[in-house]
Amino acid sequence: MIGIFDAQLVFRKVLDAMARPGKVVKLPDISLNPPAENKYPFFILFTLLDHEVEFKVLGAKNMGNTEKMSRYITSNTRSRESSLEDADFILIYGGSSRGRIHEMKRGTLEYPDESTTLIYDVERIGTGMLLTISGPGIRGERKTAIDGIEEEEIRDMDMVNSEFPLGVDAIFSDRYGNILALPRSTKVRW
Amino acid sequence: MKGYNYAFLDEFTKREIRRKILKAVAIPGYQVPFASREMPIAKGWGTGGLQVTLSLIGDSDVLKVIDQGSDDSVNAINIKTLVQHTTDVKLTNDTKEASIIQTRHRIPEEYLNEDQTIVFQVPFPEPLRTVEPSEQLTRRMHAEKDYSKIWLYLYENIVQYGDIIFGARYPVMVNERYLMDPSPIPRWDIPRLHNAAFLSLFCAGREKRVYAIPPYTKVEPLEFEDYKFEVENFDGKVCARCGSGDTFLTKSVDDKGNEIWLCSDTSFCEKRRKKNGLFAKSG
Amino acid sequence: MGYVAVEGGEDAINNAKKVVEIFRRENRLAIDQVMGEGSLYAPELAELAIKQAEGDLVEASFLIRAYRSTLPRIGYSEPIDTHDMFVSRQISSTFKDIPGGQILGATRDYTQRLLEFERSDEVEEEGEESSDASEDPPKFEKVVDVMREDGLIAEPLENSEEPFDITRDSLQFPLSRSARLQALARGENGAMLALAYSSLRGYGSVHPTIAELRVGYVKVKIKHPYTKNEVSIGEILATECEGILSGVGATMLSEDAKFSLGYGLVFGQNERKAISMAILDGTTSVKEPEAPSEDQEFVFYHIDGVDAMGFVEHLKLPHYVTFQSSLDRVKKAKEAKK
Repeated sequence: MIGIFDAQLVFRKVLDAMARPGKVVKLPDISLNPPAENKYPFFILFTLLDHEVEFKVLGAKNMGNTEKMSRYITSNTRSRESSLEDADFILIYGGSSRGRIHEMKRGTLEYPDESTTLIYDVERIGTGMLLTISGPGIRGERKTAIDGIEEEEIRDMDMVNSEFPLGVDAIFSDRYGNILALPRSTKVRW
Repeated sequence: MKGYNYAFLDEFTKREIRRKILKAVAIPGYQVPFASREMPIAKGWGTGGLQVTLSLIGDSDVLKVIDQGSDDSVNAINIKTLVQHTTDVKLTNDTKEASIIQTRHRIPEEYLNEDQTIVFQVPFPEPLRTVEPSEQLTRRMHAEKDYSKIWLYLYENIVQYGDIIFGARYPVMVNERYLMDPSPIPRWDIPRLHNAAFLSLFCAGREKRVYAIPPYTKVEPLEFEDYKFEVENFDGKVCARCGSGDTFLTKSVDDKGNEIWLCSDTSFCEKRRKKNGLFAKSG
Repeated sequence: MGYVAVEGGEDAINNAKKVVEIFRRENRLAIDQVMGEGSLYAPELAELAIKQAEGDLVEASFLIRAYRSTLPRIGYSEPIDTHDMFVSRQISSTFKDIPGGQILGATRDYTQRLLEFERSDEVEEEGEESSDASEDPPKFEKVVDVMREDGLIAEPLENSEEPFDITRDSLQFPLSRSARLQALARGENGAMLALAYSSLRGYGSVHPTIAELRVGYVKVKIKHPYTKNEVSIGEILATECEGILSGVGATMLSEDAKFSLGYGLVFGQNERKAISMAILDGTTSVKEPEAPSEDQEFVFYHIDGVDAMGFVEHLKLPHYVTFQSSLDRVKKAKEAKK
């Protein structure tokens, strides 16, 4: 569970990140004990999930781990795990969905909002793979870096988001509490 | 306020609105449907803006609420009262001080920075409603980026009246993809939406739609090569209280019945008045 | 402020109760209307809302709706079974005789509409309250079920889906039947009346014959969280109307030459609205809509009283900035004419 005021703070940070893609935003430190090394992605999940939306966990170390995490998320949010194609929120470990991003919800032309939000658990934001981004929310062009995301994933994401307004929206969350967002409206060069 | 959750809305409601706001920001100008709640304020009186403000607001925020540019409008005060009773948040009339500005039909005259968010109250979220009453059809037009009907309407305006006759609610193209209704702000305020430092959130409670313009986003009013978009013309009039000739003015009468013009942004007018002294001409 | 003890005791309280009872009986139909439009079955709250709103029923419905949205949603009941209705009134227009007989009950339908000036000074006596709680209320077979057995009624188009909740999800057209029925159940009486009337007059093809109109008490049941058995948590007064969507003049039949049903179910005794609802259920399910009453968007965007009232009355809010903008355009247009 996440408290009322914590949820509000986390939401404002996520909103800031989504409205200003590439901006590194720091989440508040909340005491939480998820069955994972990095607790920060769970702040975001607990703030946004409830019984009206569904989630999926990808790329965790093993099945047992995935199950534990799913149960942890369900018991704290009442959201249920679903298939990849139906999931509204997907938590991804290992920096890549191994091509499965192509199966995720991109919305329809009439309802592009009915699409998934990806949360990547990454090593560190601010170093690593260099990205040059532009688009709404960014003044001109901006350079940003993420350590813990695979190049193939950035390439796949670019493909999935190539038919705006269809697409997926991504949030990257490192173990130091930094987050960064890349909505589908952002143009990415790597 | 006893018996009510912080910021009035229950957490479940806030969650849904928050999810929708994030999608709105990811797809600039696109109207996201949401399950608007019944509020203790009538539909059409700001329930949409209120739901967004209440989903955003926290202890450290400073809130300004205006109606037609005025902090003292009865409706603005009613909204402020409800928010404060359920949050204890700091209120202000000073645009520079506010972190969240909820507004009905105006953008404050002063510069807004990257730490500020404007929440617009929207009566009609659909810019194509003037030319098409059906929601199913307008949704399809947005899906296919088929805005021919509105262009035709503008063309007919010119043929019939010699110019585009949209006053407020001037249709704009956002991020070169979605036609958007900026809410009934005057044309004067439209250029402020383009490439802004601040985040703009729009919400229609009765129509149940929320949409957004992220900062630094292209916002272009529709116009023709030979019939360009123009803001309102005040013919060199100045404000009778502060002397400004560079703000949006509205016509009024003084106690003797003479026509005078006054700034619609009352708090800015007050600042200028204090600086310039009464009846000084603006520089 | 110090604590002030209430004096006058039992008499005052009893007299106060009597007045509330009188009010409740005199305005029970207003209370029923407000419960329906407010979408909350709570007679005492509806009564309070009407008092607070000085008799403005749409305003009272608004108060109830606003209150409703602050209530936590604990769960969902089982669908109400009107076969078990404790009928206080039951009529049918399709047949002369029906199971259980035509029971007129409490209605003004057959009175002459003459103002009774003697009433203005009258104070209603508290009536005898007797209860048959121990007896099983008589149940009557439904006219529609008899017709079904005879193969006359078409099967409903949708079945057994999770009902759509328009207070939780935003409307997407075309609407599912559960969404339409929910919107109608909460709709404003006058708006629905006007649209239903338009269909009868010819702006639309639906002119139903009422198979059955029932007013009575039904039990509300939930599934017990542990035993999973059905448990009754109380009773509500409801009005149900089942209309055969065919009758005077043109006979409307479904593909397999059967009658379709229009359905109305509202809180309290509100026959006008239940009938309107059945008509509009029929008109908004028409395959090729032509008339306003058949246009789903036209009907469902405009029958919500709280939405309509708010927006129409918002015109009282200042609009001087937007108006100034329009004045600017008028000036421009005049100049262009020169």
